[in-house]
Amino acid sequence: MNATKFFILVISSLLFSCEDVIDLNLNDANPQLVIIGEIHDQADQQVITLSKTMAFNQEGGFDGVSGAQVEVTDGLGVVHQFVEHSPGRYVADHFFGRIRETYHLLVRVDGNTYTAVSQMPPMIQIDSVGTAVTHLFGEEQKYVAIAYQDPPEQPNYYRYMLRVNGGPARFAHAANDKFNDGNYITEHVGDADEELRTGDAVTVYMQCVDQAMFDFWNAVQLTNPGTAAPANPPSNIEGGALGYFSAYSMAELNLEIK
Amino acid sequence: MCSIAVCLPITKNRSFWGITWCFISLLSCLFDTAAAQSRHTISGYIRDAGTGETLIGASVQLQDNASTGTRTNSYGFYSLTLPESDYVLVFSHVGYQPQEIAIQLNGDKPVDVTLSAGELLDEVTIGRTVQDDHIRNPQMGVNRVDVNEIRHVPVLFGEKDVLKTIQLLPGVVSGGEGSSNFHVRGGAGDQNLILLDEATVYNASHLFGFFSTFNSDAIKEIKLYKGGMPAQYGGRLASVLDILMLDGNQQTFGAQGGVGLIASRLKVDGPIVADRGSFMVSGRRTYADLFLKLSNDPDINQSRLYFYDLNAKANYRLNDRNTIFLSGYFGRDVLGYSDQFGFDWGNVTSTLRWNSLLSERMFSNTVLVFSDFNYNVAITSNDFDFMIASRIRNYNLKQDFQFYSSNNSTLRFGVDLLQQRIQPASIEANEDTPVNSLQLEDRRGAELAAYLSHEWKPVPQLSLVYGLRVSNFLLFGPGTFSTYDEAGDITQSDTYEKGELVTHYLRFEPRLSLSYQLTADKSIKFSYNRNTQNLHQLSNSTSSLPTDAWVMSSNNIKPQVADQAALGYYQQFGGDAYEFSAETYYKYMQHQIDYRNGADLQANNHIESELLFGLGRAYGVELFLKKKSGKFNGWLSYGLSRSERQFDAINEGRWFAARQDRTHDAAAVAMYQLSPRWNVSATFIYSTGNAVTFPSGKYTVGEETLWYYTERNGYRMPDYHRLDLGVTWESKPTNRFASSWTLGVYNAYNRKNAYLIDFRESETNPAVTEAYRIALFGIIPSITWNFKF
Repeated sequence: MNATKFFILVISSLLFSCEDVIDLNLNDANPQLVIIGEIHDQADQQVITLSKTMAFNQEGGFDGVSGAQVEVTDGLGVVHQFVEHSPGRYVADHFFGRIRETYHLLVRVDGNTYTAVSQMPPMIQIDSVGTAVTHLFGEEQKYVAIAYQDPPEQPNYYRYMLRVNGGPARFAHAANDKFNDGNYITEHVGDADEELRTGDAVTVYMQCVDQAMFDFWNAVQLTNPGTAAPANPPSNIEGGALGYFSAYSMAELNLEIK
Repeated sequence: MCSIAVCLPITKNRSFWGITWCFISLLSCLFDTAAAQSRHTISGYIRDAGTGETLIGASVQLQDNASTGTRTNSYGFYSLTLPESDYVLVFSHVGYQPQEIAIQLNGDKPVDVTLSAGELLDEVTIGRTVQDDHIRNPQMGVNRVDVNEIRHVPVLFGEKDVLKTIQLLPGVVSGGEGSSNFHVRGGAGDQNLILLDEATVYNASHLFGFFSTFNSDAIKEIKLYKGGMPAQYGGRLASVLDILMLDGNQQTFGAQGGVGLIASRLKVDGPIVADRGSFMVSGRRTYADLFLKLSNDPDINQSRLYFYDLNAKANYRLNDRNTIFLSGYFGRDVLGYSDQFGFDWGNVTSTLRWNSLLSERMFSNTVLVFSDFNYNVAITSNDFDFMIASRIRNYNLKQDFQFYSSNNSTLRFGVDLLQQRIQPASIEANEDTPVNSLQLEDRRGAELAAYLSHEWKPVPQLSLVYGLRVSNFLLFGPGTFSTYDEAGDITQSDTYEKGELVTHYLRFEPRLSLSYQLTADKSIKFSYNRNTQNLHQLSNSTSSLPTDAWVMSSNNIKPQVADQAALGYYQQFGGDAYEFSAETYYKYMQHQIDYRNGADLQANNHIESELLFGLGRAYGVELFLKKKSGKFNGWLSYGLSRSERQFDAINEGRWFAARQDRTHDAAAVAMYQLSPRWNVSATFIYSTGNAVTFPSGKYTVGEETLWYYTERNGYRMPDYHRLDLGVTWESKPTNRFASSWTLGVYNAYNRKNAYLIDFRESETNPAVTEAYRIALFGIIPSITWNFKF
């Protein structure tokens, strides 16, 4: 389906390309607030992070923003206060996300207010999980194959996170049902950077997400060096912050790659 | 004057045919004035003596008064009306020996002339007799490229490519490393009208832009209009690239071909009936895929990777007044991996043309064109089996008249009627495939245009062409047409029946070019033109992909409009061995198209909701110095320019540089004939890098590092420069057979020009982010063997 990837593969194998690291003089933009808020239904603890963008050449990746007021209100009017555990990391305990519930985020920091809304979609029924093998140019590639029935007549959005051999859970793939609404779907989930090998202990988090979350991660995965005008992924946060606030339902799948 | 009065009430009711009729009545006024004096007409065709090919732009002038004369049109026809007297006419053309013919003009005289290709004349004698178009012709912003003239210009992989050669001209910048895509005067890639024998070519490149669809063997001449487009052309904003195929040798059968690293070529041509008709067939195919066959891996040796082109043309002279031509192009790219993935795309064009002399002074060209571009993607696996297909096609009728009303006045008028249909990407899936079939609605439109222009030389120093093109674009049902608000949400949807008019846009496009001759070898020119565009290509990648969607103007998309004014200075010196030009232009563009962030352009029923509309402006200076004859020839070209866009939703509404904006763009092309059998050549290119969007910061989401962008196209790619070298050795020709070897070196000093720059976490320390560049072509040698018999 992804013809672009195939083109890039063909072109790069055809042509005599060479690659090297270069020094670029990039501007240091004014730091911008980034809010990442996720509410899910698989734990009684929810985490929201606040950070600032940093200069490209600066070492490290997370510049936490402290001293913010962070709260999430559910559909019943219950307010969950988030407490700062470490710089920029705000946590609410005893907070289970519920499907179909609408959550309202409120963040106050440095005199500015940021708000967002998200409704948690229900989790779909997973039919089976296993290992899939494909061959491309004589090379074997392994994936986690997840089979499920997509609910018909409605848009569905999915995000897959992957944890390999006890490492961190990383973003693997975002999908929607634009081309396969209502079908029985087998999704192949792999690691973009590292290939899965036989014997790897793998955890896949399959998440049913809202459109805002999909749009964010879809923009991330579609941006490639050939994108004419790369831009920041769309944010659903009112008030001018990067990031997203999303409530999602989730299933955790553990398996060993065969 | 009579016609103007008739005109006004008719234009009020905005009827297309009314306007056409208005033109005709205006014409009849001009006819009357022209017929008054006792004059006679000399007319005919000028052809190559060896092959019978008609010569385009060849000059006819009086021996004792070089300022009285004319040129052959695109079909080799000329007509010159003079008072009754005795004359000596000089027929000449660059690269041919001039011929003088004495004529006693006491009645209309048909005079067909053949010219012999000249040996390289020495630099002093050449030119005296050649009427110089460069100085006198009011047309500006035009570059004519004779394919023969550029045969020694070194090129990537040794594949001669006219679309890459025109990138060496001022005001034309390359679409990227090794790319045959081009941008003219700051315009977008889809703003070039590319015509092959008058048929629109929708996708002019093979293999994602690395090769053009034009096989040089089959081409006679290319003409690139960067501004001041004559009224007979319309439909695109930035340029017209008019490519004419060879007619084929009228006298003898011949074949020529070549074997190169990438492709092989073969052309066969010859008479159908001697001196009455000829044919030409030319083909080209790449063979990279043959190496795949050597693999032991069945997935690889069953893979496909090639493209081919086939050009064919035939012409037949029915009688002295009527000639018919039939030409066609068929080309296709085929990619496939094993039996799992197949992807092919290509153009088909066909042109039926009828040249008719209605009188000694009235030339008619009737053209019927069919043009089609389509692509197919097939995906097959154990649990998948589906196809994606898309197509765009048009039928086009053009009727063009050229009326040589006197030796200083020529009228050109006609109609251009185009019917166009777009089938957007549709998906056809098998029953048990987890992908759904998807059929997007076709879009049908028509573009009906009429034009009139008058080339007029009121005094010997001044010549001008002024004209008007009136185009009416009509969008028809059937289908559902939605309108969208600022945010891209649907506000209204209406369903239209088949043939029902959805919307239409009537546009007036005035055109004016004039030249004022300062001395015999110096002139200044001015031009103004307005162009409109009703077909738009949507692409959000830097490379041109065959899958980029086409859309027509609609209830949401207004026609793109460009107004361009240009002023230039022209000079020739050293006889006419050297020509120099300096042009400056300003172009203002309305209803330009860009996309929302994260726009979904794939098989999207509401693709128009993803579009943003804004303004564009481009301005610059272009310098061009060319040495046309002698053992040493070539040119220097330099462009200083700016091309900017403004969209309310991008960059907070501020103007930003278009991607193809390149401040400096320079090229030097040199060809030197060492001996009759040895030729050396070199090309040097320097240009400012493209405007690009780079991050100005970063942030972390979970485990991912994301880039923070603050400004569209706020950065520059590194400067681009490159030297190419070539040497050609021709074997001693015998009567029957000639061959040559061409060695080329692309990027001779192995400059690592950045094809793209991307950003990543360092592999050694993920806390550190770094920029890396990918350079595509290092030093690349090539060898080509060409033959002819």
